[in-house]
Amino acid sequence: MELVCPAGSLPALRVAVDSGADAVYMGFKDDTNARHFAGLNFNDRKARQALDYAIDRKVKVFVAINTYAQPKGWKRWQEAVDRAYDLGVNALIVADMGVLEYTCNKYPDLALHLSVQGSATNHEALKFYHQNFGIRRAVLPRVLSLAQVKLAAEKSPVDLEVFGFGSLCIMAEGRCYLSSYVTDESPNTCGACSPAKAVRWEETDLGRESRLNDVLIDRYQEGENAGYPTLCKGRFKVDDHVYNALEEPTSLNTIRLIPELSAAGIKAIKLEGRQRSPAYVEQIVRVWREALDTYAVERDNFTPRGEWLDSLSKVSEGTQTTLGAYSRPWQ
Amino acid sequence: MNPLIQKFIEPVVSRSAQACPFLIQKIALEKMLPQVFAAEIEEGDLDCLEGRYLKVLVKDLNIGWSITLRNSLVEVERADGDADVTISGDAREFALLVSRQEDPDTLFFQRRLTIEGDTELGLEVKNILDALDHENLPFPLKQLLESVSQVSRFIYAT
Repeated sequence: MELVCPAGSLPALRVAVDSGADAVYMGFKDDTNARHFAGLNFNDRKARQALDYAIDRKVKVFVAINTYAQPKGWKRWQEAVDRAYDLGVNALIVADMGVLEYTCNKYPDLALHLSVQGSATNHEALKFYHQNFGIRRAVLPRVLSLAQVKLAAEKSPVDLEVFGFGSLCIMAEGRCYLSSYVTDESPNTCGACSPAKAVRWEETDLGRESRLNDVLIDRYQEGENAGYPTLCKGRFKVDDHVYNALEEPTSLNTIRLIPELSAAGIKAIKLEGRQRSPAYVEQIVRVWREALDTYAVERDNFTPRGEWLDSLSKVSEGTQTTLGAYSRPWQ
Repeated sequence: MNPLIQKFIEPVVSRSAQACPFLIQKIALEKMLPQVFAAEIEEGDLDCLEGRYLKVLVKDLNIGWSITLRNSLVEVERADGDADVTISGDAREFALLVSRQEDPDTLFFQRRLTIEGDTELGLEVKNILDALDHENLPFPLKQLLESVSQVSRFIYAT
């Protein structure tokens, strides 16, 4: 299985390549990608350097243009596709059907991957994207259980990629507008969930408080780990009971599922975290490279090493990891 | 962590840092920072700090600075005034951060770093720091960074 790794900056890209990525994915410095944060991502010069570095080392480069084009900004999405084509990237990761159509008409040779934001959860949806836009790969949403992943993989007309590790959201990828509800901006529309300009952290006598557009999201006591200040991860009072009413801050970690994912015919594993630093990228890529290489040798006898899990838990949001929906026994 | 070594080294670092007059710190930082961030200042990436203050507080050493950009020139002031964003933590956390041994989000989740004020400005500075090309730094600074990295690995090894 191909290891697809995040790069929010040139140093992160280099360290991903050096630590064993088979492919890296990145975005441009605007709202055409779902990690549109100040100071992050690649301008033309840095993108060129990134491509040169990766290609020299036989590592593929994918560019995420995976937000939904807004009526006023259509030109920006077109330009992002043109720029990626001119750079000579290996594939685009796209969600919006308008962007998919523009790309497959203008650059029929450019490989298209359906972004997780496209939210294709079954083989009929995959067939639709394949027939209409010629996608070659799709990233499956994390809402699927392992049984559903296997089912989609059985009849999928395209290669499939699944998430292996990273911060977990509420698992309604491509369909979540919780951030928009509080801040008027969401990943799909503006490329940012809980944009930093709406976030305030404050150390108070009651604890560390996080607010999103003045809405209290959480209050952490001394010694409690904090999470990203997103609406889905906040603690709220429901019937006089304060708890993570939507979900707990946690990270997905599917190292244990490598044999099953491989047996299901999954072609690539994606690691999340373009917004994280080079130190994080280095740690997670190194562990996953070792895990996949170990699996290639041990096959049926594969068991995850304790030190891999420890090292991944340490950098996780909420410092806990889960199999997420993959482990869901019910259908 | 190696508590014994830490016990000996920290008070020495702490006392020397506090004994170093602010004017010397100011001159050193105003000389060093423009070299470290030469490309970022040139390309306008650091325009976000133009006329706005980033306060850095090293709590256990009891030192800190307010940093701003005025017409693309770095200015360092005492940390006793107001700032647009304040990042605080112990020396260990900053050493691990600049030497790229720890991820800032991890430190933040674990409450070892604090960001108060304009979160977007803080995030932008963090991202610029992450994107900094250590390969392109002038040789003495690269050496300095390597020393910070080695010393922090030595003192704070877990």
